[in-house]
Amino acid sequence: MKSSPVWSTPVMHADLDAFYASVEVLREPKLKGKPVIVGGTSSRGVVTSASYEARKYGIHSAMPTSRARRLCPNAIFIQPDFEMYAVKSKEVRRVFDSFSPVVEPLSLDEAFLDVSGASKMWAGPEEMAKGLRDDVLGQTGLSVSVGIAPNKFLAKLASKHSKPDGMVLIHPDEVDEFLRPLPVEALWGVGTETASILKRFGLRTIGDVVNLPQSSLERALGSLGGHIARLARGIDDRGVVADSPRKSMGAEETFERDLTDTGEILRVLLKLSDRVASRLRARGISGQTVTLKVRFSNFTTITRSVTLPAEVDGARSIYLVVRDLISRVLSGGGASGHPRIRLLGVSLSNLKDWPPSEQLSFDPAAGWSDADRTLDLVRRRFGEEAIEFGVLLESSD
Amino acid sequence: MHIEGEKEALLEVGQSVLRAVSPRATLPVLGGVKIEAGRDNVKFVATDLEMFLTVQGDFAVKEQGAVVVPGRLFGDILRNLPSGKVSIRGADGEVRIEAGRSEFAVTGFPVADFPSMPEVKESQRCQIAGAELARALRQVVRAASPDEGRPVLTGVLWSVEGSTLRLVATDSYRLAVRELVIKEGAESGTAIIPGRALAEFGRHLAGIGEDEVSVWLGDSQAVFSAGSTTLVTRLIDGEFPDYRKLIPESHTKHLKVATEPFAQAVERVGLVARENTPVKIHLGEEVQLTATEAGVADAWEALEEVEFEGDPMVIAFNPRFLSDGLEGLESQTAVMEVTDPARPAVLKGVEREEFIYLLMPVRLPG
Repeated sequence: MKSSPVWSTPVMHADLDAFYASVEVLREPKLKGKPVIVGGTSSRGVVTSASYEARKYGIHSAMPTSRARRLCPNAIFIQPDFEMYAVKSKEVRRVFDSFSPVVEPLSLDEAFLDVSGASKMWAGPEEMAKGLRDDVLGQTGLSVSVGIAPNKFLAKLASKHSKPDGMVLIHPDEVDEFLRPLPVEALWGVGTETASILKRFGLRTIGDVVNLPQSSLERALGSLGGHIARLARGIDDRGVVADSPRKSMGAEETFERDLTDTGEILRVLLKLSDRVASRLRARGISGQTVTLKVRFSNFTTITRSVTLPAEVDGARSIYLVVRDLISRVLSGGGASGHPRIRLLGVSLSNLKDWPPSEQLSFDPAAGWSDADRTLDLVRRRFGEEAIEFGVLLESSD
Repeated sequence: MHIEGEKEALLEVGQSVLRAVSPRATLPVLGGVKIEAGRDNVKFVATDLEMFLTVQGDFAVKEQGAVVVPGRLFGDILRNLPSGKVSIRGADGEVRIEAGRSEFAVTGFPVADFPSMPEVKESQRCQIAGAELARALRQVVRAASPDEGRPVLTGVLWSVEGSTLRLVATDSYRLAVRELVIKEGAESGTAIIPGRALAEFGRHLAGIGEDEVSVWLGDSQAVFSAGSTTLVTRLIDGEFPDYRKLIPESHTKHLKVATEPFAQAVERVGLVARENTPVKIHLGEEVQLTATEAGVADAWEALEEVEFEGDPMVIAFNPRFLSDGLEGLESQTAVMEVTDPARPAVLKGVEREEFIYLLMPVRLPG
C-alpha cells in the first residue's frame, strides 16, 4: 500500500543558516570564514548560535559556552543582540511574503510557505525555491536553506538535508525512497523515549516502520502509533496556516480534580506563565496586558487583567502579575471558603511586534530576561520538558 | 433649600468640585454633588469615599437646607445656562434649576444617602505657601504609581522634619523627592497621602496663587485647606519604601545640558519611540539622542549646549519618564549623573538641591 500525496500543493520550508551568527558576520564582515559563536559569555552562559566554521569543532547551540571555549579556544564569542535579530528576521519575512500569501513562521529563523501558486508564476517549485534563496541573499545578505515537498513534515526534513545553503526537493514519487533509510528519530513526534520503544520492536529506520502493519504499531503505541505510521508513509495533513495578526496569546489548563491548594495553584500559574512567555519569545513578540482566567467548580468564569507600563515576554514578569491577580481573587472569596478551581488560564494581549525593552525597576527582583533566553535554547535543543523552574520540579515529587 | 447666584460663579464652583466625582462611582449617589445652604454660606461637596472635596461659594441663601444633584447633569446644565441669575431650589426628590426662561426639574438623590465627611481627630496643623506647594505637587505627584496593586506606591510620602517638609513619590521606575519649607507649625512625622487627592488639590491651588495652605494630619485622615477649598482625604496604610538608599552616593559620568532644548529634543525624538520603545542617550564628546521603531522610523538629534565628563556610554530611557523629570526641574540647566546603563540616573537642576528625580533606565533587548 503506497500513498500518493498530491503534488499540486507543495510546501516549502525555509530555514536560515546559523541565523544569529550570520547576522553578526553581516555586521562585522571581517568575521567571515571564522568560527563565530553567539551566546552568553558569562560563566554559566550557553551557545545560542554557531557559524558552520565553529560547528566543525563539534560546537552546537545550547552547549555551555565554557565547553565551546575549550573545544575551540580561538572562536569569536559574541553576546546576542535580539533586537537586531528581530529586525533582520522581519526583513527576511518581507521576502517570504513576496513569494507566498500564506507564510507560517515557526520562529525568528524558519517558516513554512504554501507555494501551491508557484506553477502560475514560476516554471515550478524548484525554480521558485531558487528565486527565494537568491532574493533572501540579495536583499538581506543571509543564506537560507530550502526544502520543498508535498507536505510540512517532508518539507522540514528536506530543508534539514539541504543545509547549509542548499535546496532539496522531494518529489511525490521519491517520498518512499527518501524516507526509508532515515532513522526513526527523523519522524516528527518521535523523541528518545518513543525511539527506544520502537527499537525494542526492532524498528530502527522509517523503512522498518513502513513494513509493519499500522494496526500493530497502534497496539504498541496507541494513537501515537497511527500518527507515526502515517508520517512514515509520508502522509501529513497539516496545512500551512498564515499567522494572522494575533490579538492575544495564552495557555490554559483544565484539571481532572479541582484545585484548592494555593501552593498548587501558584505552581500551575508559573507553568502557564512560562508557556506563554516562551511562545512570545519564539515569535520575537511581546505583550503588555496580562489576563488571568479562572473557572470555578460551578463553572462560573472570571477574568482579571492588568496593563503593564511596558511590554513583557518573560515568565517571571507575567507570573508576578498573575500571582497578584489570583491572590486578590482568592481573598475576595469571603465567606464562601476555599474556592474550588477547575480551570486556570494566562494570556497576554495588547501584543507588540517586537521583543521588549525592559524598563528596569528599583525593585531588586529584576534581571530575569537572560535566564529566559537560556531556557528557550535548552528547550529548542532538548525538548519542552528538558528544563523547568525549580519550584515546578519540586511539585512532581 | 433655595439659593441664588450668578451663573459664572456657580459654574466655577460647580466645575471645580465635580472633578472629585469619581468617573467609576460604585454607588450611584457618589456621582452626585451635595449642595448645602447654611445660614450665610453655600458648600458644594463631592466625594469618591477616598476623598471629600468641599468648595464654598458666596451665594444668596433664601432657604437653608441641602440637596444632592446628579453631578454630570448638573455641570452640563450650568455650563449651558444663559448668563445672569440662577436659582436652585428643592429637597430630596426634585431639584429645580431656573435661569432666564430655562427651567429644569432634576431628580435628586436622598440627602441621607450621601456619605458624611469623616471626623478628623485631634491632629497636627502646619502652614505652607500655596504657590510653592502647588509647584512641589506638580513635580512629585506624577511619579506616583497608578497601579492599585501596590497601594503604598499610589501615594505620596509626606514627611516633616523640623521646618522641612519632604514630598516623595515613586512608581518603582522613577523617584521624585522635593523639599520645601513649612511656614508655621507641625512636629516631625510622616503620612502617605493618595496621589489622586494631592493631584486634585494641586489643581485647585494652581488657580489660587500665593494663598496660605493649612494642612492637618490626623491618624487616618489629612485635611488640606486653601481659601474656599477644603479637601479631606484618607491616608494610605503601609510602609513607604526606604527611598534614601535608592539615591546613588556617587557617579562616574556627569552631563550638564540646557534644560529646555533637552526637553524639546526628548519630545521630538520620542515621537518615533511609540509605545514603549526607549530613547537612547549616546553620551560622549558629542551627546546624541536616538530612537528606533523597527520598520517604522528612526530619529536622531545632537544636543546643543552640553558638557559631558566621563567615559562614553549609551543609556536608554522611557521618554515619558524622562520628560516628566525634565519638566519638574525649574532650572535653566539640567544635570544628569549616571554610572552604568542599568543603574539609576539622577536628574536635578544645577545648584538646585530641593528637587531630585531618579530614573531607572530601559535595558535594551539582548
